[in-house]
Amino acid sequence: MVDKNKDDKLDSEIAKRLDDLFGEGDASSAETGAIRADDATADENKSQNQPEQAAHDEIFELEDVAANKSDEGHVAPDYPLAELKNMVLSIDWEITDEVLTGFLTQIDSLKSTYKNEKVILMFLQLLGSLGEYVKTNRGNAHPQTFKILNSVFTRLEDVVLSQDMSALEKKKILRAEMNKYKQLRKQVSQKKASAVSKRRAETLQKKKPISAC
Amino acid sequence: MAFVNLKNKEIQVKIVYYGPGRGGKTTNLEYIYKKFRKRINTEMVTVKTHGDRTLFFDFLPFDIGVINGYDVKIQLYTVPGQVKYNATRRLVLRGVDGIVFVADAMAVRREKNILSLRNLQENLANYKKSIFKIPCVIQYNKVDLLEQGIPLLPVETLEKDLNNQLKRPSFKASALTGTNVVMTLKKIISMTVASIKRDLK
Repeated sequence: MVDKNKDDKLDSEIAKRLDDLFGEGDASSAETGAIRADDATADENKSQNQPEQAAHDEIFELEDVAANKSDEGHVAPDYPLAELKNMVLSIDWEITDEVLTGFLTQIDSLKSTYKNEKVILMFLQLLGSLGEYVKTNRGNAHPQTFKILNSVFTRLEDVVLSQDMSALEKKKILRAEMNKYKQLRKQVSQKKASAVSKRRAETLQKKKPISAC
Repeated sequence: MAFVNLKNKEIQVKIVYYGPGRGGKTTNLEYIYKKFRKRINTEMVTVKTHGDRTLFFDFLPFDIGVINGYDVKIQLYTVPGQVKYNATRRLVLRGVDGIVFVADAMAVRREKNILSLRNLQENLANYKKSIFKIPCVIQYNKVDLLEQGIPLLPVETLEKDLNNQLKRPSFKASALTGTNVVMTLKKIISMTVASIKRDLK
């Protein structure tokens, strides 16, 4: 009983201290966001009853993923860039053939959707070029590529979603993204050129002692 | 087991934010740091490279003051989420006292969440720790993306995939907007401190 009181006192002391430090937090959202805010002690006790062997068990069943594909999320079917956005975020996560092929396929399909909108088409071309570059160079792609890819996509979204943006404004946004892309191309070719000259210098240096002999 | 200095009456509590790459672990810490920097009076250390991905880890230490006669110092860490950095993840887990598993609520990340949780289980087992015993809070991050039309996994699916057997406290969150970031942190700190106290008895 005494211990229980001590535990309660400790809990309230910690809670008070955390409230002092992190007050004005997100208490309102917590009410809606907490899915399972079970009592920590109860959780701990429950878990300690599990056998030690559990640490090595295959507890997470991957086959369920395939079986439950049908309940994957709430798609907004009327948003034309939704799938492309998925792909952009996926590239940011991990570069795989599957993702990049999906990305380029989406670009092609959107090109035909927006075939009469020149600015959007140019945005898609930029994204397509970046996608091809990533596909070729994968993890060795210039680090800025991923930032620019995200930036171009974000600006494309702005253009597509805005109802009252003037053609001039759209062109201005496109030009800014084109400049970033050109800058990247310049950096990539400079990097390539310096790598080539470095290789040449190394080859020449290797040859020198032979000719000296 | 936490680092306890009986002479100085000091306890260091190590909490690791774990989860798949690009899931929002660093964003959680950044939110805490930006919002409460003045109160917690600390500096956040981040080692980043190659396009701003976390290569090594983020580190945010702060003091929560004297509790039960001990000065309690909290250390928050993140691990790099990308698959190839498992050695670093394992290293960061050494001496961990509590885990926040930051899952990505995006539908396309479903498999990655499960793989990452399994990876956590394996890496903890490496230190003879059980995912069923260590204090742990699960956070379903990026719920704000729903407003932008991004397909998200229903909470029931996330719970079934990740928390069906663990039965840990879990929160829907947005590390970007700060929704439930603090709730997650408070929960893991109180669970971890309580657990350390039990171990010290």
